[in-house]
Amino acid sequence: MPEKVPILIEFPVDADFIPSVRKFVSESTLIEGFTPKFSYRTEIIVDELCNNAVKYGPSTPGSSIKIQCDFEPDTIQLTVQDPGGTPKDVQNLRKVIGTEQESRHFLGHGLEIVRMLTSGMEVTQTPNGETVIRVVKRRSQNIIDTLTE
Amino acid sequence: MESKQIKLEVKTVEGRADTRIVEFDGDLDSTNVESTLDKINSVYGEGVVNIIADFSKLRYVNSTGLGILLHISKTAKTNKWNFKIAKVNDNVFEIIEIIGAHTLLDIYDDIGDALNSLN
Amino acid sequence: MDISSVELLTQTFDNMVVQGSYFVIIDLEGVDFVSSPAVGVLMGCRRRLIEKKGNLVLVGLSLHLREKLNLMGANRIFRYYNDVKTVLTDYRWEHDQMAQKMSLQVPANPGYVPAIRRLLSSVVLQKGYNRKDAFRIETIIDELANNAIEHGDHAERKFYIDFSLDRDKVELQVRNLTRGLDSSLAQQVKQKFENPVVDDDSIRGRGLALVKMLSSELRLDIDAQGTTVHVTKVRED
Repeated sequence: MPEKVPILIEFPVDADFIPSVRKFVSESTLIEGFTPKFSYRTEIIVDELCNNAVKYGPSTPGSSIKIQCDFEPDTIQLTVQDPGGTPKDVQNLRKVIGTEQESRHFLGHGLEIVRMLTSGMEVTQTPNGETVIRVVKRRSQNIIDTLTE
Repeated sequence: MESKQIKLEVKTVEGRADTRIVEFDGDLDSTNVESTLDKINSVYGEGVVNIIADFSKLRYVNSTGLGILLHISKTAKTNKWNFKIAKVNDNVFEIIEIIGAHTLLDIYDDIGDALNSLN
Repeated sequence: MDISSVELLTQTFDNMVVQGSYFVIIDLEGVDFVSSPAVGVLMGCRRRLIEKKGNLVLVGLSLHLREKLNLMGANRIFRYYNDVKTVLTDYRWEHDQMAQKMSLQVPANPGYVPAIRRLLSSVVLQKGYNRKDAFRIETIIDELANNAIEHGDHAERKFYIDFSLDRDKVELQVRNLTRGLDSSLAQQVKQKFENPVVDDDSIRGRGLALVKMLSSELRLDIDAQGTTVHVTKVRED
């Protein structure tokens, strides 16, 4: 079976775009046969990852955030890449992602929710200083265990 | 730009001048948490001490939205006001549960229950 | 920010006006308290800047500071932003006609078209375009996306959309891969596209005629990369 075509979206570092982008990715999962519940949770994940990228990403005009959504029969892989910033920006982002404090700090960063809604989260840095966050979300096989859906 | 994602409608409650129902319609996310806070604060400012938030039309909430609900809740407690939430849909409730906020927010199945709890 | 800083504030502000800086961003990150006289001074500063066609905005307010300022009625006068970055985006949008761009790569599946329509329409609405314009843009993208899917090289199974918008207009480029078109056939296609004929046999012709009516500019380019349709739609409100 041929590989599925991934969705690629590039948009400005501007929170105005996030509601539209997260809904588009969410709708895409429905189109690709995932459940409404899965698509809702995908919307949350994309929202949280993009908000972080906008908040902690740099501000050079014309820079953009890249999202990729890869579909497999039972999983999606979401990759969000910010445009890269100064060492201070990267440091701030690390602080946001790194500490477990997030779970107690609700007014924060939402990555705790992302961790709970996905099967894995990986954070890497490109040579250009762009932070790449990759998460995998599995379609639930087990109806009872809906938290992994 | 001002968010187009949420609409808040304030309704009076018969027989209770100190209480309002605020209907949330749409998505509560990072683009509109501050304006939502402003609106809720302005409702409390009119001599109102009880707000029942009707979430039946609230489709979506993210962590920032939850953060603001918790902030509103905390402020209400400090002032000895009430901030009660009713008719949360399954999707929104699940997110509230995942983040552990369901024990910190005053949530009811329907508006009647929330109103009764005021007495 | 109390009485002692008010004098410094006024001085700093006067210097800025003398230098011709009419757009001022007040960064309140880390500030817990702003006294009533200080707010008064800021309001006065803003009034002076408005007279010079400038403005004064506040950024970085904590929730608590925001609530305290609102009690003083500050939210009726000042626009609040989360950070300097957002102010600059807004400013450039309004004053420099800055364009913001989006790019999409999407599977060549007609099921995606409604989602694409909603994406573009909600973005323009968020940016202040009215519903009528948003609807026209939806109609345009619907037609172009369906076209691209129908006529694209089926082996490629994807197509591309580039979307640029500024305060006054939207520019769309929908691109797909159409291999194997020799230049005379390409010319024919280009001709037909840019001059759509509405007749009973041509479902697509009607659609393209509609796009042509709704756009300020419609152009088709065919090259080795594929077929690109360019549309410009000027904001009409």
